[in-house]
Amino acid sequence: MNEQNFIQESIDSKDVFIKNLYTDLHDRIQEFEGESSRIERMRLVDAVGSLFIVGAIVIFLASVIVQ
Amino acid sequence: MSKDQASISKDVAFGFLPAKKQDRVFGLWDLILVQVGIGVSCFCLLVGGYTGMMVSAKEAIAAILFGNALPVLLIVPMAIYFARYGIDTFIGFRSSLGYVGSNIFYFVFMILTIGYMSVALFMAGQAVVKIASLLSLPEFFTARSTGAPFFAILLFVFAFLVTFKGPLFIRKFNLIGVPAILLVMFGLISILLLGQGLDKIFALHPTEPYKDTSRSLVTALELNIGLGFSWLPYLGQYSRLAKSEKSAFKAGFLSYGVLVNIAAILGALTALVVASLDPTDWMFAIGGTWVGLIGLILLTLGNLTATIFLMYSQAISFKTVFPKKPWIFALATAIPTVLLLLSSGFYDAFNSFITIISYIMAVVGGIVISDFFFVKKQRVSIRALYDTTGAYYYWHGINPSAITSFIAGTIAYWELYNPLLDTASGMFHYMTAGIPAYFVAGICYYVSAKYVFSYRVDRSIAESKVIAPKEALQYKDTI
Repeated sequence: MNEQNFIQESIDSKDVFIKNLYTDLHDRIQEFEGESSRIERMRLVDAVGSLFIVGAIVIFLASVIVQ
Repeated sequence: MSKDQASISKDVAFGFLPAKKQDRVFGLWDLILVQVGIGVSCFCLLVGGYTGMMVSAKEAIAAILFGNALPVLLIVPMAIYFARYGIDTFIGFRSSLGYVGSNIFYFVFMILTIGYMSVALFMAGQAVVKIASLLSLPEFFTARSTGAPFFAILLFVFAFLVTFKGPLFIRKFNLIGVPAILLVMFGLISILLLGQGLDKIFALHPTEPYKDTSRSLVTALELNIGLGFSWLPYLGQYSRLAKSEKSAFKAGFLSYGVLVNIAAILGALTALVVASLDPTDWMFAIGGTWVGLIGLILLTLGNLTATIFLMYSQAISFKTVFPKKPWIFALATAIPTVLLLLSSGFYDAFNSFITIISYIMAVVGGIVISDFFFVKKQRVSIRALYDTTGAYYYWHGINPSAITSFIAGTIAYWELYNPLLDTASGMFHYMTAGIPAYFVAGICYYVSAKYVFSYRVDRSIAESKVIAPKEALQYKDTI
């Protein structure tokens, strides 16, 4: 399958907005695939705070149910 | 092209295209501020109001905190996806739902947004009715059955015209509307603490509990679970502009899972004091005439701004899904809202509405989480997301694994709880309905995608056409 089929079709569109939109899209995809626009990835340890908060809330709910 | 049209085109392109490095302007606190600002709304107050009618203050706080924090924790990992690729929700969901499936989900979201807008507008209409009563206007304007629909539709027309003008005009409203709702909350906090005192509030009994107290608590939980899951379609909006995945995740959880609960808790406590779930009833009841009048005006402004925000977001999302359609067509998708404003029926059934949202978003949440983290193992092709003849075409544009999982999640939810009739099975008392439906949908999706339908993109990473990401660039996240 031609990977650029739909995107290329849109780049060739006579609608100026669509043409510009998909041309810009193509450039951004290239940039992303070239890895120049990546951001810092999250690690599991970064979720510890959120898990702790939910844990505390679960304990609070359990205490309310038990009472 | 006019300045307004240029701004709209710019917003559509901004929403459609993957974010560039220079677009990523939000650190952790930026995201929290903007998401809380948008998230704190009449819906939180109303869910809190319903909660406060069923359970005591302590139970309400527990139900609200748990009901929001856990569902948000279950869906907020999607913020990582949107941040990583810089994409909006309906582009991102193409990898799990298929190109057409994602468009179907957009239409479901559009219908739900129409529901949200009608609730905000009808509440504003009711607020204006109360102001009209104070001004001794004719009965047509002061009766709920005529006045509220009349003012609600008038406010809809106003919101439509503002939205039609575009983002430059809308931004002026945001400067008024967001502070308006925050002022309402600040006013409620002050009056409750100074006028009532926490001891007195915590000693109050709810006005309309179920006969079985456990049923009251679990139904209150389910309402708040609905509010928690309801944030799913909104996760992409700002996460895609985050400087890091970590800030997108943490901000999403803290904003939608924790901080917006303040509004719901306020709603619950006020409902306990006033013995009414409706925020428009609270203002005169606890503030007196002049403070109540200011409260009603602020509530109206806040709801009007929320409507404009929803209307504009819906139109922009429509244009990102169908970029070739004209702007007026995108805006016209909001017009069916008027049908829901003709009577109080939909507004009075808000509790059923929020539990329907719980069902839909819990099931879809389970599917998309399962797909990105467990089936595709976080390897998605950004090119294939935009090439609608590409790898996520599945079966006629819809992922059959998503269909089967949606059916499984639906059966799980409705066997536990019927939100239209408000009837529940015995098991509902122990597990609610939204949370089990999330897990049923997610597990079913994993089994379907890996072993039943087993499309090439789901089978193995080696076979899929994605580009393996190398080590990510370090991007300093300023807090």
